[in-house]
Amino acid sequence: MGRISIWVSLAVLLLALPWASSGYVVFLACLCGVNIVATLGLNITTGYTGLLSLSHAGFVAVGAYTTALLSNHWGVPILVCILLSGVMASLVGGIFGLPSFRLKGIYLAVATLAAQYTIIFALRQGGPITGGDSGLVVSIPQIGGLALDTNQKFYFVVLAVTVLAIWISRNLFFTRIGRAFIAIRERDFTAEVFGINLMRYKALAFMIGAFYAGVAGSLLAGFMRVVTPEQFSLTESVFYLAAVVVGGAGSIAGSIIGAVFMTLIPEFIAFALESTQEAFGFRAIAILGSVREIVFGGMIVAFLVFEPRGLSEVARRIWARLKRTKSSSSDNAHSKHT
Amino acid sequence: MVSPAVDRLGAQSPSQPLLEVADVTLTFGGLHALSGVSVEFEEGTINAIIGPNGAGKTTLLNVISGFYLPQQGQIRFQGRDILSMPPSARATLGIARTFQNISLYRGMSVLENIKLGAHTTLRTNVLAGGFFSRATRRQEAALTQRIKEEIAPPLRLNEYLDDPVEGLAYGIQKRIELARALALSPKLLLLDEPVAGMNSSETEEMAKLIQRVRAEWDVTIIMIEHDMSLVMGISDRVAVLSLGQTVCEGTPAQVQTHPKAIEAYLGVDDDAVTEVHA
Amino acid sequence: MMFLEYSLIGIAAGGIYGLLALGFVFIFMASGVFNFATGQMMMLGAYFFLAFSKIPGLPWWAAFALAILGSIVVAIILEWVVIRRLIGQPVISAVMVTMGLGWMLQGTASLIWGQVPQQLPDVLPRAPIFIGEILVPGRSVWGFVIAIAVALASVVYFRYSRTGVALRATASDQITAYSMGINVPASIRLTWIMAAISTTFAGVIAGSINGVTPELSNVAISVIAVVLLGGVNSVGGVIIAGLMMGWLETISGVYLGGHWREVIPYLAVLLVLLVRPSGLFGSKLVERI
Repeated sequence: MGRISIWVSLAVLLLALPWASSGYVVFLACLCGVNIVATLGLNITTGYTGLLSLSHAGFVAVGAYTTALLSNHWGVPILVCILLSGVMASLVGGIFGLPSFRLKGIYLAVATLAAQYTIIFALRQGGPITGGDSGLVVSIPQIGGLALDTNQKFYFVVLAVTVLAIWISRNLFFTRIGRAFIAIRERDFTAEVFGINLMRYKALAFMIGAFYAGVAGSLLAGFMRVVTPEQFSLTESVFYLAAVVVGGAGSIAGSIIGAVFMTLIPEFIAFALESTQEAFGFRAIAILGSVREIVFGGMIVAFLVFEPRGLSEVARRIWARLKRTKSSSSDNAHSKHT
Repeated sequence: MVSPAVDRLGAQSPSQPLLEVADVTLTFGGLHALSGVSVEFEEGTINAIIGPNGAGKTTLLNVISGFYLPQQGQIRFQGRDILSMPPSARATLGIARTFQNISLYRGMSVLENIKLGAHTTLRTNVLAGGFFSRATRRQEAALTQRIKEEIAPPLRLNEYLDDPVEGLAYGIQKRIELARALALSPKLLLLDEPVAGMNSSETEEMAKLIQRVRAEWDVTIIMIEHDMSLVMGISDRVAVLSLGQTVCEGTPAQVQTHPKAIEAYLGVDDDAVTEVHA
Repeated sequence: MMFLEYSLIGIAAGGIYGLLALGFVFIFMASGVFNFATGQMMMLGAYFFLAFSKIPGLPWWAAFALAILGSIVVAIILEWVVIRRLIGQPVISAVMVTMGLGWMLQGTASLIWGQVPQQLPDVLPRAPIFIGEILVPGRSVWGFVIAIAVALASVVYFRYSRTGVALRATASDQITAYSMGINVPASIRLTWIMAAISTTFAGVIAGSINGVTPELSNVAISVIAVVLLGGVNSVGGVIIAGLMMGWLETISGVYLGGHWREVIPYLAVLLVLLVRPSGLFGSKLVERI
């Protein structure tokens, strides 16, 4: 009974959020949702399958710009945009990754680095189509005839898509597809012996991850309503990698924890810097970029060195310890709890 | 055809062998790993490939699996040339194997590791998997049941099925590797040192298991082993490899007393007689 | 005529790439780690030189020596964090750690020194040099000469010295090297030290020509392209590939436009991966099962 009530309370909390809190919280919730979807995708590619990808932000950009263009030029409803953005990002990923799927993982990593820079370059040089350095303003997302013109309204789209993304990821790893991904990460040639075509499955893992990125980008375009190349720099790709590492590679819960953690950290940093501005009297916001770089890099290093399985493992340990003390105390009391 | 330099003892079976290795030569750079190796494996038999270290035994297995492409020679499975098939395609033919170094997958439970062996028997694609279609659910449940009822019990793995593979004892991991291979429902099972690092009671248990697998599941077995009690005890035929070449082939009794076989082990005959502990 | 002049300038700039690629390749060959922090190490070397040269009364060569020392210290710390702590984890973890460390270095540098390009003391003679009838900026030529000298010295050391032979043994087969009594961890540390030295030279040269900013780190992708182009296990090949990449970047910058200059190395990488992943001079990596 206890477990179901936890899920129900969570559902109620999430559904009531727009009315129960400030606009800033809703904004953060939307951002968390976007980052959860993106991190889930990168975790599939890098965490579960072991293919290092440095282009995730680039694929998010593809999704975001695709939605912007579809929405602005043809008024495509948001749900269709989301799907098409995922497909587009997946295709772009496939094109860039294709030469490397038959090679060792490090070559793919390099290809993704090239992809990241090339995509951003193309967006900045895209002139009238992409808006160059200034980017594009996104028209109001539409569902049916309804205009989702506030974060409160768009939040539900983000919530639904995020839940769906989590569910799909979870399902994949109940099936042979997910098992194949893990086998490729662990000992790829032995996976081949059991019938797993490495090139095909690597491509699959990479393109699924890119699809998620595209969907995340689409959601981002929907609630930010502005897309610029700057939002999708290499630093952001490192952000997503950090989210995977911090939360826990190869773990769905880890993707969620990591994404939320990494989303809140920059907000924390910005907040801390703004507070110190009064104390130290310098333009702390100007150094935000540098501090973000240090923190993201530092998180990756710290977790890989000290806690390679991430926060999800830490949470699991705490949970196990709690269950043990709970059961031992209930034994002492000679009573039964479910 | 078998090269005349190899002594082949015992009667030839008239039916087509399940697996034929014909005149296989494999070089790495200038190094000859295998030179003109020819062996035939009859269906339903337990075969052992023995020889001193560096003889090319695992290399031969890797050629059969498809990891190395020989410069010369042929490999025929059920009469069909498989050299042009990549390793992942050979699994669909019903060829399974275990590895010298345990290669179980961390991050998955014992059950999931075993299920991976049956990858080619499942039909799930990305969409079906992502949305966990009814067909997918049924296939997964059926596979789980099959493993729980048919594969895990003889290997005494049922109590470990939900455990992560990391941290399990070596002997248990070896059995999981075997279970994974069996999940493929193989016609041919390649075992690379199945009892390496096991004590005598574990070896005996594995010996009985291998014989049971052959009998109940109709699987042809090729194993590489150093443990002579196992090799001589349960093999129908034994092939001796030395320095990348077949030295002789025959029943255990024949090979044991064959002068060339003894010569191949000369200088390392301590290893030939004692068990290898990892 | 202009084409020739630009070509020479490009090749001269490529000297830096060759030098950086060497540092990268040594580490990769010894430990299989792609050191994504190579660019940041180079940037740091340049900044160290900048900082030490500001000390009053210190001659520039002393400042340079201190910069090398500083880089070596940082490299040893990096190696200690990356290699030591991550033994047993898959290589991808080590690669990600070098990325994270690189990011930290870059962020720290921009915190300390800001984003504005800084001038390094004039150590490369400016006077233009005539090659035949062509005029090439002095700093480019001298930078090239020094870069190639250091690169060749490293290659000679790698090839012929006792420690160099040990390094090559480690590079080809760690386990066998261990069994032959070679101190593998020390060899790996040595490759990081060599990388520190070559990246400092490269950083000071590049910084002298273009000024020093944290953005100097971005040369890393060009270096990776160079390494792939030359062949990830070919020491001589990457030097040549470096010169080629330098030439390619300069020529494309001139004839296609400045923006293309940025993206050319990435396109080059993709092309190499498509056509010949082992690079122009490298050999196929054989994986023993």
